[in-house]
Amino acid sequence: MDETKNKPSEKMAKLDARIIYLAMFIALLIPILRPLGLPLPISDMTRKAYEYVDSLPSGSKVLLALHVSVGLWPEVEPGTIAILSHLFSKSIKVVIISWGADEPVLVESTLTKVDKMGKQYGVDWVNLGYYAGMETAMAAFAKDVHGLVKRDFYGTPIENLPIMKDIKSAKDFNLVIYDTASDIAPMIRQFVAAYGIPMVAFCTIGWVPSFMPYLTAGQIVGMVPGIRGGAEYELLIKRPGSGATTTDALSLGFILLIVLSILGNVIWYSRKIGMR
Amino acid sequence: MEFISALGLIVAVIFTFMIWSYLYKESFIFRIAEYTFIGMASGHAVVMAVGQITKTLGSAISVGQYIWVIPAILGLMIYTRYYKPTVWISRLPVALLVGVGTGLAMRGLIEAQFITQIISTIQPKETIDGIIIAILTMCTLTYFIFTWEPKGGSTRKAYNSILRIGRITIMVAMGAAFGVLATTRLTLCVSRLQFIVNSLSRLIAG
Repeated sequence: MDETKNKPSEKMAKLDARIIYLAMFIALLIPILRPLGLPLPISDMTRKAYEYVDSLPSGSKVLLALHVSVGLWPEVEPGTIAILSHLFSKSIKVVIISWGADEPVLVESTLTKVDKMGKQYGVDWVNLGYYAGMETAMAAFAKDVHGLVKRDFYGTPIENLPIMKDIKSAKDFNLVIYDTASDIAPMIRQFVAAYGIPMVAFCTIGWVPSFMPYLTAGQIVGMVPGIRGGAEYELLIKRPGSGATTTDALSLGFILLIVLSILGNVIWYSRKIGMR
Repeated sequence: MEFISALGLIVAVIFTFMIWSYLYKESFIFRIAEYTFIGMASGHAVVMAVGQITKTLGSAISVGQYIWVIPAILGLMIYTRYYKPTVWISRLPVALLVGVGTGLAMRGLIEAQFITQIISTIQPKETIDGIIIAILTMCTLTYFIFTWEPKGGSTRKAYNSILRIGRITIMVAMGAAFGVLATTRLTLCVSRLQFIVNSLSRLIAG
């Protein structure tokens, strides 16, 4: 009988993956049932985004452009709730537009979780809905808002919406917030490079490395990265929400991942030594 | 809680478990959930697209802006690709789309993605981070020079060291990319767990 099969390292190497999935589920579930309140330092990029938004005077106009599919929405939703709460608290006017088909419905659902502080639809904020074409739609919107947008998400002609009266082109916005799970380059080209409008990015964590050069170059004034950025923004506006709980769960999940990585390496080395 | 809301929550929770059943084993249950999702997503996309056309085109025509008929005709021309003898007609709107898209992208591309990025990389940095970024960028770019390599002992040694730093930089970047990917997937999992816990508490509370 082969003795190596009975070694602990061999047994561990052949461990059923489903046991690891179960362990991960338990690790993620604990902080959801009982939040741990693990410390969360605020990153510079999130602080920059917060400080820029906070410096905008009351009555400023902000474009919230969305391009996040339904599958990735949970990652940016806490940040979106936090930024909308921040904007409404400062009486900043918000125009929401979507470059993807999923977002108008998603943002409607998200808006039910935001304290609007008595702000009125059509006067203080508006949801313009979905516009196909990506960069062509972005360029058309930036050049002539009324040329592209005829009605809002609910079918109201935009001439009947007071908020849209003074918004003719990208130049009328004080800030663009791009909530995205895709490349930021088209928005940089059509809003920042073409019109010099400051931009803040709310992105899924996967896009952070790609967006960093734009932050370093000053093409975006701040960045709120994924769920962690959302949690940081919640802390900055002093309204901890689902982002903080999620980061707790993620931290515990990562501790388990690190332990498993170390264990995997130890097993690999011990098997290697055993073979010699 | 209203019956319809409760039913919606129950269906969503059941479908989440049906998708997660894949972690145990790929099965008929998983496939039902997968195909339902694909079908609903496609249906939703079609409804939103048609909604946008009627919203934009209908509104424009109703106020006498007949110029919008041209993009509508161009859009319809794309469907000619489903009938072989008329495939050539579909190439015209596609060519127009590609041309307009490329032209628009080129407008800001040089400034946004070349000049500003190069200036940001080469300009003197106050922080040590900036200097490291500049050095590592150059080492990484050098790694992709495949058409030339120096001859001679010491020059070649120095060049190989630069290539090695470039390779390590790429590996670090890939490691970071894997890390962020793991974060995204775990976030989605946590979000579903939160949804299930919240839904069950709401259902129990009535």
